[in-house]
Amino acid sequence: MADEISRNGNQERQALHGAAAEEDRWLDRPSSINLIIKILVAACVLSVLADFFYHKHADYSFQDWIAFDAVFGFVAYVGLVMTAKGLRRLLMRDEDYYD
Amino acid sequence: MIDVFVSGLPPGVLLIVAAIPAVLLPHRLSQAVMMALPIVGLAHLLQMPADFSYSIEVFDYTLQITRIDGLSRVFGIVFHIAAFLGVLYASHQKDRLQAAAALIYAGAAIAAVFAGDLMTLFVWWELTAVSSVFLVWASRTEAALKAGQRYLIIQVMSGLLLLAGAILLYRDSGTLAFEHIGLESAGGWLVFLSFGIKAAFPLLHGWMKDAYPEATVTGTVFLSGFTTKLAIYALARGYAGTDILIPIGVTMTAFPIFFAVIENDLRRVLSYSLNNQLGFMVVGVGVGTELALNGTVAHVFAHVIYKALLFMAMGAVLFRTGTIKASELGGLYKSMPWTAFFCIIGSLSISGFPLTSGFVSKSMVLSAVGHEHLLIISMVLLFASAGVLDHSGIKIPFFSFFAHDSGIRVKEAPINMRLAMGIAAAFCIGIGVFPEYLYAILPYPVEYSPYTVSHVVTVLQLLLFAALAFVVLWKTGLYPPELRSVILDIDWTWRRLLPAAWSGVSEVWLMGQRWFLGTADRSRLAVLDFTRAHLSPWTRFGEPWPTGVTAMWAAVLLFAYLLLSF
Repeated sequence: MADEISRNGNQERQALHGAAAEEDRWLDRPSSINLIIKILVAACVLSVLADFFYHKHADYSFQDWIAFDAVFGFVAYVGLVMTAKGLRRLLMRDEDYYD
Repeated sequence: MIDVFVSGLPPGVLLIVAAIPAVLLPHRLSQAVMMALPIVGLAHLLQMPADFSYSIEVFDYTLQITRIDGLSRVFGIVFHIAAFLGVLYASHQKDRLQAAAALIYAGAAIAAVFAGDLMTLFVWWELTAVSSVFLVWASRTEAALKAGQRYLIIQVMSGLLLLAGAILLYRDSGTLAFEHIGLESAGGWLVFLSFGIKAAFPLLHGWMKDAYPEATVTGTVFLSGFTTKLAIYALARGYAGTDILIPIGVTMTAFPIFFAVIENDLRRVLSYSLNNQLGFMVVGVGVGTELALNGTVAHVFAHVIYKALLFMAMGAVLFRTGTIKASELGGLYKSMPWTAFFCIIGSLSISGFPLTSGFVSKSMVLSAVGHEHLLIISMVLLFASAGVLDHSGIKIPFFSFFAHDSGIRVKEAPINMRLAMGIAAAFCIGIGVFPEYLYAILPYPVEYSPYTVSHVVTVLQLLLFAALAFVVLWKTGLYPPELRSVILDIDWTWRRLLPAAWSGVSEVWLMGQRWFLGTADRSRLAVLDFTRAHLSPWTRFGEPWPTGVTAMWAAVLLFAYLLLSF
């Protein structure tokens, strides 16, 4: 199976790799990436603004604070990724460790 | 009589008995029959009464081989869907052994959820273990062979614990019926441990992240669907409302996501992610209210499909490029746009964005926990939800299809793979937009509406700001780069620590043995030398003594004896 996959993969790669100059892709342009980020930031702002226009009824009182979930999401994400990054010192080994 | 027996057999048996004849047919016919089997099986299940029972007598025991009720029925339905998606996804493949193993495995898992007693459950439980290992071995690599062996040992151990527990429970209660078990007896604990291994409880989870990524492209899609969800079913049946499941489940949601962030093999990332999703279900079972159990079952239903979708997408990448390491991939959207698109739908679903299946199912579990006011549990689940967005929502699609262009150009996934992914993606969106159809088949009546303004806004805030955090970390270069590496986990204990400890123990044993034998040898030689030196015929003691001397010594000894006896 593994042979089949890599054989398949290699053939495909050889056949298609560098197949002439590729057309310009929208996503390859830095301006497109910036546009996507701007849209994300706008969506974030809107989601917080929405908190002013309805009455929250969460299970815990502090969840009713404006933008609680926004702050929580941001902090949790950064905390998780940076902690995991630190864990690499302890847990990461060379790729052939078990071979 | 035969009619009654056949119509009383549990759904799933059809897949098992038809598996081997089906794979022996010519390729195209064989694929058509195999795809028809789950459809026929599902149709059969749906036309059976919603409450149905069939028992047989074996020796003195009554075995309830079929029990259809609200709980088992919904698991049966989603298992049939998963089996169909798996067969369709694998239909380009000509490996008959693997195809048969996959069908038998799916059939055994389906039959297992309809088992009304622990002995019947045990039989199907072990069959899922024995049949599924072939999906790992079918990779036919050294790594897969070894991982498969480790997997099989652990899976069979789970079965033996179930058997031992069932025997103890039978001795205590006189019945084998599989109803609520609880942790009041030793038997209850053994069965709990058996289920816990298959459900990948913390520290019992090593087999999954070890074996799943070694299975074949198509094998992992099957594996992701059945084993662990069968365990969730069994927990929901036997241990609903068991408090200890709440801390266990919440640990499962939080613990694996740290590994998922730094793991390089994207199918292993998905295995960690699977473990994290199981955590939400285990918490739901532990809370045990009607809302919580409904949420658990709904989450199983949604999860089986979006998880299969994600494994299908990563399988397609592996199939076409020959690697699934994040460090080697990137930019594949250019050559595999359909796969990228379906993968993103799977990612949105598992992250729980509104209008996807994950949103309408996970929120039931979160609400059930919130209603019980388990503050810390709620917060950890919220943290884990933000974590899901990283490893499954962003990492999986971003590093394979976008990020830095790896320069790899391949063909799009085969049409059958795209079809299977497309159907799965349609389920993800369909369930998200029309949750009432899913809610209608849950075990308890549902009075729950996921689409409240409050709920939609808070979930969007959490996910959008977590995504913003990713952008910030990525742009500032703080996001950990994907590196070729192995990340150590609990399986290190039996792949490295125990073998090392064992060779240490045998080393010490050998040293002790050598010392003992050496000493024994030296003492033997010393005795021999002493005898030679002092007792040989030419020595003082060895030479013949005159009779008078001997008689005198005998008299001395007798006199001494006489003195001592007073």
